[in-house]
Amino acid sequence: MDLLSLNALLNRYVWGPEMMLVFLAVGLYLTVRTGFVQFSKIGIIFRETLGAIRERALGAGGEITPFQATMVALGATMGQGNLIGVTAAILIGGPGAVFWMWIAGILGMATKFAEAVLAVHFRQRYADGSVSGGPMFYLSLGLPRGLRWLGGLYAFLAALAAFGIGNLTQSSAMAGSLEAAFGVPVGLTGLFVALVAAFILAGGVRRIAVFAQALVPLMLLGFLAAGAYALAMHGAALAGAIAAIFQHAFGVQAAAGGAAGYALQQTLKAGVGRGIFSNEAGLGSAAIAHAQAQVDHPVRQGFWGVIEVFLDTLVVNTVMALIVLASGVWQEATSAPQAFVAAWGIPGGSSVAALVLALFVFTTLVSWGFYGEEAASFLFGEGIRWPYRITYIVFAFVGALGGFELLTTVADTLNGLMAIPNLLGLVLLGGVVAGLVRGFFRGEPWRPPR
Amino acid sequence: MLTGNLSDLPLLELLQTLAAGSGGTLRIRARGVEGTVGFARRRVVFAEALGLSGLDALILLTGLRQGRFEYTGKPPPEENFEASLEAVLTELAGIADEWKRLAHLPEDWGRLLRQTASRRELELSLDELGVFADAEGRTVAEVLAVPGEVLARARVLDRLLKHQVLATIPSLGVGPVTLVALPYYGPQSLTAYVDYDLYQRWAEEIGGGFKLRVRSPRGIEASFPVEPRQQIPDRIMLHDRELKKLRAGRGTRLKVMPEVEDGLTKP
Repeated sequence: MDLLSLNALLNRYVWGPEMMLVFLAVGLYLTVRTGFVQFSKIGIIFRETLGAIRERALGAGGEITPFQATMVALGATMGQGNLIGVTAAILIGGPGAVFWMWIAGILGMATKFAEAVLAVHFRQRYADGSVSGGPMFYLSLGLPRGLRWLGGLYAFLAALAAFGIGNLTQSSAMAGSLEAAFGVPVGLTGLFVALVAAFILAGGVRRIAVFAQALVPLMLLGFLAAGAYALAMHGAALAGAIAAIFQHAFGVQAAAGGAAGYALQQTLKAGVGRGIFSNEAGLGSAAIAHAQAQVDHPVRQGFWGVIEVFLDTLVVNTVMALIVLASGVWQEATSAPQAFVAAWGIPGGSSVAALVLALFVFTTLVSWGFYGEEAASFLFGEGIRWPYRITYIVFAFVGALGGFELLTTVADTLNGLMAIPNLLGLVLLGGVVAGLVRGFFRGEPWRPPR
Repeated sequence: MLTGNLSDLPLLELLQTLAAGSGGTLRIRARGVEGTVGFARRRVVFAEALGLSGLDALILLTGLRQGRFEYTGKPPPEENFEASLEAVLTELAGIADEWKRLAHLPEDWGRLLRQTASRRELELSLDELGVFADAEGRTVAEVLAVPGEVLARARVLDRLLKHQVLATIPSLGVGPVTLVALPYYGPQSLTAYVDYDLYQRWAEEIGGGFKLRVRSPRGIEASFPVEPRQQIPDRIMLHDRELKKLRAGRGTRLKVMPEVEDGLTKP
């Protein structure tokens, strides 16, 4: 078997239904271990996060505020997957896919919660006040001695995968979309992306946080405003779209065609896939950002993890899905990008779609640059930061020019592989998460591991 | 120079002693009060205490039962009053007797006033209600120092203390700080947590155990036992339910002041 065949095989598994079941099982396990935190503590979670959004600094450990950390993480998770990915899920699985996306997203909340909790709990502080954390740290510091190498493996996969999922894919999508909508030459887009990304990444986590804090909420609000307008335009079909999500959740539509089993499988696969992969719960990447938060207790940052999934999957994905469903394009379109553009159904819809996409993918590119850099510095020390940044910026430029499909596919597989050590670690460290949750809700102080 | 303590030589007797002199300045330092009286040409030409001036300042200072004084021959920095020493002595003689009758006023006017949780019924006049509302968290001296009302307020305060509507607690000399609320959860608890460094600083300044009095922006106050906690600079952690009672929540800026209950005083 040659390298390409091996990559194709691995890719099928890491993004396939078997792996989805593992994601769901881990989400369910963590939901139970945390005492159903995303349900039982929902009021506290909202009060502690969105309810305290004006509170910028908590002033304890970490380098950036909990809100900034979440915006960095959200900047990474919100990308093509929320827009074209959701559209594709509906084209493949029908409206019922949205229902399963919600279910997977709700389980993913516990996964992301656990990742953020562990990221803060096991983060490392340095003499200059900076911190580093994420799966590579909780795997190498929290797991039994014989499994600590998983931390290094995770860092290796993340450092390389960042060039694919975070970089080439994103800059290529941005360049393609801006060229199609406005005729911007891809080289120009590449140059712009590289220069702006270079400026932001050069400032380290603090500058990335300031950028994310300003742009991500703006992007979210802009998307929701455009989405609300588009939904208003499709107003008459909205109730039907919502009803269709529930009616088709168990493959009803296809049942009429006589292939219920297959349709349900497709619906489940498409919906669960979106619910898992669009918010990255289980991949562990967002934990790298959450580890940077100034917070007095890991559980408090875990709440932001829940909110991150809520905003990504239950808000953004749902709005996108409703736009696609209410527009009716999902019944006629042949490709997801085409349906995504057509769905908006508003004057200049293709321009709006291109701008929304460009913003979403740019924030992803920046946040993944940070993730990759953190992972590389875990492996090779602080000296690797600048060489990594420069390479990453060069990739951002050339990615816009296109023609890196092979590299992107390999990086995509590496990205999927990141989940394996992370999910294993989450299961093995479930007891630590449960203990921290118990302690927090008894009013006990956090005692970082020695 | 003449120095001493008002507990040995009350102001009235001190003024009688100084009447023979040609002029000078008397400085008084008591807990909660600082005052100055200036003499020239056998007349009182300057009197100032806690923002009061003239006769009001003299009335306030007459009520002090303890405090250091220092008399120098230097003339007062300015003149803001004009009365013969004899006239002042005559006026203050009656006032000193009145002060003596106010047995419930503490000697230490630096003590803080607190509204008590007394359930006893007591009919209060409008004046008394005014003082009652004004007293919470302020020193005795601060409550008394109102132009034209010093003695009247002293009478009211004496009555409110007598009926235990108000109580006094020692002032620690540690000013209030603003801390940001951070809730904690779990079994109901009255304990407040502040950052370890702040707790240590307060403990060193106070020299013993202390509680925290917390005031919300809505004016609701409560007192909490306090413990230190790591990693919460500029924060006060209160139980979620206690925060709700203060009508505050995460991020609310709370005025926090350490206090010592009687019996838990500075060693």
